[in-house]
Amino acid sequence: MAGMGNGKHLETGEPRPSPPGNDVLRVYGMKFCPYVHRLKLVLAAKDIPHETVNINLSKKPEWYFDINPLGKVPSIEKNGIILYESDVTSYYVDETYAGKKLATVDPLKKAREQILLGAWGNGISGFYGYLRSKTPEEKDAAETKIRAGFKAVDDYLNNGNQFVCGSGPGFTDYMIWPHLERLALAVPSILKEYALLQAYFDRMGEDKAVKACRHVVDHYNQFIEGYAKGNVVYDIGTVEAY
Amino acid sequence: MAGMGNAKHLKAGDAEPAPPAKDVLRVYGMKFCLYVHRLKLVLAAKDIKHETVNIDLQKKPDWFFQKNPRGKVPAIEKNGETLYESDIMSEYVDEIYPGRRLQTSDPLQNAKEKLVLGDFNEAANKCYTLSRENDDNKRSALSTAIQASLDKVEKFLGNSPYFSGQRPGFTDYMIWPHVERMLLFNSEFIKGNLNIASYCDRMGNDEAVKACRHPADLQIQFFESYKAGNAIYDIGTVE
Ligand SMILES: N[C@@H](CCC(=O)N[C@@H](CS)C(=O)NCC(=O)O)C(=O)O
Ligand SMILES: N[C@@H](CCC(=O)N[C@@H](CS)C(=O)NCC(=O)O)C(=O)O
Repeated sequence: MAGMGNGKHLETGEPRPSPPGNDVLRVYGMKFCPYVHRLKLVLAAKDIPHETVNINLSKKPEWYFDINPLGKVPSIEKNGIILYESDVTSYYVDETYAGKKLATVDPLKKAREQILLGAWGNGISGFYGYLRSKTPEEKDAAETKIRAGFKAVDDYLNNGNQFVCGSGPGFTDYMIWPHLERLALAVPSILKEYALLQAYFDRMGEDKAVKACRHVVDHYNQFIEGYAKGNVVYDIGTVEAY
Repeated sequence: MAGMGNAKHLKAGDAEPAPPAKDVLRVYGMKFCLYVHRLKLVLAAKDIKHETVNIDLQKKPDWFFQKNPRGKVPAIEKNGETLYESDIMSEYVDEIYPGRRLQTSDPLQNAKEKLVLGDFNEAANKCYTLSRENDDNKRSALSTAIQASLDKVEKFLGNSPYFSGQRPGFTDYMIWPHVERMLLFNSEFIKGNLNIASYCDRMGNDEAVKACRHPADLQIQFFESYKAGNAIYDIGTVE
């Protein structure tokens, strides 16, 4: 779990940590956030050293809004530069750090992947809808969205490719994975309806970055339980003082 | 108004046009759609030849869903490939056609432009909500939220004449359709922000902006019909 960072989640009243050292990349995160997970996958895939400051999102420290006016994680800070939004930050680190470029360069393939990511938005909103659903109708509506998201990726993989980005996992795979990992725990039987997607899921599970960032299922379930009850516990598992 | 295309808007029952000839780029559009407007600005700025097929969005022809399963304009078709979503297609045409590259290549500047585009989209979407909201409390909350997003935009423009730097670029053309409509329908938000206001004057002189601009009365006529729930697409010259 080194991948997602074990630092205690800082909360209201706690002082702002001093800025990262020269050339050090800092990620403001939350251990169980799927959007932080996206960025962490890209960092792991490219072996980019960084430090993590976790934020308690139910009791945000006042200073966090100076870093990200939207108050969301992830954000990054390096040499005085601050950026946020998972896709923007992930793309930025992919472009500015050495190593294999994860984002697809071919214009047509890139456009198709972006359209797919838009369609995957159904899977994402279905995921949150599922967690929040209180009635059978709400659950049905969420499952319909989840299926639409699953189908989009399943159809996309119907071209013989092992991964969305081609023969190996790339940028778009890492944007999709965090919610897919969570959906596989929430609705495993729906995932099984999509053979190509299920095989893709298993294949992704072997990827080194995916492994490095994967949660212990127990911890994850504990987090979701708190989330569902409206009483989120962030410091689960190993906790290191910041 | 060549820019936005004057072709009659095809509707359910109208025959599907033959596919575009080899290497010809076709845009499926709607004359007053701000997302089509984004793509058209990029095409105009790069002088990319194309044909336009307009779609009646209230009575969509069945065949249109083969071009875009989401049933929205814009969509493009070329040599059997179709794509949709204005930002994605605009990047695509910027990348595959020669000429000045409109997207910013510096990674940091590029990331900052994406964030400010997000801020502007947020403000613009709330302006549309505002135009339909009658409750005073909600209206004032919306106005505050719009101004908060625009504060960030205003700050961004304090440092450079255009969103993309010294010349209008990709991000400018993604934002401009929103700005042009805000100038017509929510001008208080433009007037109150000096950097944004002077940006509007500068952009008004851009050739691509001029080529795609509707006369104000046409745009207003369209918006009124749209708001009344009965959008009239074939306004102005119709070919
Ligand atoms: N669009 C953002 C979404 C990030 C996001 O929603 N993160 C959640 C945690 S998983 C958050 O920070 N929530 C706190 C809040 O919205 O106040 C991104 O892609 O980074
Ligand atoms: N996200 C799309 C939005 C396009 C869009 O909403 N276009 C409108 C016309 S301005 C449309 O086609 N509406 C028809 C519909 O939603 O059925 C894009 O950026 O291209």
